[in-house]
Amino acid sequence: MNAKASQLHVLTAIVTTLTLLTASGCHTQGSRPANFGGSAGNEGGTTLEQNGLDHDDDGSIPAPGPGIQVIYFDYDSAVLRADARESLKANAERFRRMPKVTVQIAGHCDERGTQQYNLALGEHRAIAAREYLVQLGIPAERLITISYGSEQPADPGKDEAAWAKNRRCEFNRAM
Amino acid sequence: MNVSYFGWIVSAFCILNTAAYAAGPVVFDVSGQGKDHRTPVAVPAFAAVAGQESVAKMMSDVIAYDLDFSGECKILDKEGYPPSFKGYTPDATQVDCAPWKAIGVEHLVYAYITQEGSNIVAECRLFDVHTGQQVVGKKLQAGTEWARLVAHQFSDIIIERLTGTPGIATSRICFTNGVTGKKEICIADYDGANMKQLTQHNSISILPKFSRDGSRLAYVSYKDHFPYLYVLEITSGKSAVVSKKSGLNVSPSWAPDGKSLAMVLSKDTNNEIYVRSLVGDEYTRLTNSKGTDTSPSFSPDGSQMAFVTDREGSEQIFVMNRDGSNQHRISFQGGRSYDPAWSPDGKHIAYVVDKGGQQIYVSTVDGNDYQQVTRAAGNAEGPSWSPDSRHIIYANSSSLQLWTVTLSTGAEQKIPNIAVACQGPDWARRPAQ
Repeated sequence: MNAKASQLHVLTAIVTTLTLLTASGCHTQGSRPANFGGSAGNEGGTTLEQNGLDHDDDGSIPAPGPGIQVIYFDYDSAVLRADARESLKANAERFRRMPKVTVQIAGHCDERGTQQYNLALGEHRAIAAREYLVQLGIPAERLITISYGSEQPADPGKDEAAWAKNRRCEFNRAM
Repeated sequence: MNVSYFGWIVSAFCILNTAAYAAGPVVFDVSGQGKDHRTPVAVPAFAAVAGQESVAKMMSDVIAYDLDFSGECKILDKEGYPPSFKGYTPDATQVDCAPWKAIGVEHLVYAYITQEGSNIVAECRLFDVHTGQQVVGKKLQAGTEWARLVAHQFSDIIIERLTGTPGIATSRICFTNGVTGKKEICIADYDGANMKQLTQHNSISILPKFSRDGSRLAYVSYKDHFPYLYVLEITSGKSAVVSKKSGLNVSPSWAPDGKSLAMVLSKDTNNEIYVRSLVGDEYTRLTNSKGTDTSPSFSPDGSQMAFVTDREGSEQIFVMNRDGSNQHRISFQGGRSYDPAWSPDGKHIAYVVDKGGQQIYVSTVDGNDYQQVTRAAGNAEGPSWSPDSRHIIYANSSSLQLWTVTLSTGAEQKIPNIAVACQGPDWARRPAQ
């Protein structure tokens, strides 16, 4: 459908990188998310799906950092699967090494169900991820949630393969 | 273009027959098996002064669409007109009902269109063909850019005459228009004409809901980077944030008095339903379940609300009192249920049932009786009622089109005149002024 979509198929895994944005990009306004990974649509930075690397706001490409993993869910479920728990354990390890960073957990849904319901389901997924990260020792005040419902599919396809990629939580750096 | 149409003059003249027609109940016959209850009506091209012929033709076409859409009228095809009919003239006394009566037409819609200065003037009459008498006579006028609205106004008057309840042809719809990541709030006439984009947030702005009086919209936008709730005044276009708690601020539903909003917040534990007063800063929490509670919809008297919860497993429709008491399930179709909408007459709740495909059902408030009302291909979502409770608008989320279903006939049709991707419709009367 577009460049982003085609590149999705090339990516072997959605593994994102954490980098700090340059000061010029840091307009501290509430807790605006600055992407350090994740899919399109969030304000600001660029995404892994676009190039596999993070850009700084000025367009320069920093060296890839250690990976933060996207987690995936079953249809109409906010229950953390075993693979999601493993990914969250790895992510928690990363988050522990950057104690000053506040993480925004963005919950997403596939297009089934309704636009309105999916806003709630996406939030439920983000809350489930947050609760598990807190269990793993990440302070709750460093974790904020946002739901995009079905507004920001990672894959615009209309089949289960696409939907499976869209039922997810991404982890962005809040600023 | 911002000239108010409310400056137009409505004057009644020579109402010869004031006998009241029986107000027909909304007949729930969506099976297509029942008797055709519609009144046969003819709407020939209106008479016009020189230069206004195309406006007159447009207005008669609009009225024919409105009356057909209502589900109360069956519009006679032009091919079926009596051979003796040679078209309307400016002289209404020349209207001859006899040949129309002979072919079974019950009402004849007449208008004569002229222009006075920058105003269009419509001399509108409705004839009862059986008695041969005029039963409605109105002189309507407005700026020429409001000619469609003048036609809609006459349609509403005709429907009120035929059913006892004003029509909805002057009503408006709002919806989200856009593509992934760029969705704006729009408003249009109920037939999709005169679409106007109300927001320029360049973000994701969704789920607009009219206040009862049709003057304001509550909606969700990510324009300030989080899903916050805003209220927009339609006339001025000004919008202001009304809820920006951490987490979700979504699914607005207006209290009937317009002084508070039900909404879904996740600020405390998970997704719960709150009522937020728009005067002061008071939030009242109504639900407290482990799962998701969302999609509140006020009853028209404000005493209750329908909502969605997954507290028993799959998503189902529940009803509770305004204070959160007496929460009980009303959907029992199997599968999942979403997006409840309480009818303006208070009698029914429409919602989405997903049993492998999503369709709209209408249920009594107690849930004991229900009926599937849509069958069109694709997934239906976001039902909202017409102000007269006779129709439901919904989004086909597969095609991103807006559709309506007329409950008395079961007729499903795409809203014309809109050529953009749409979601999340709502429907309200045009504010009186």
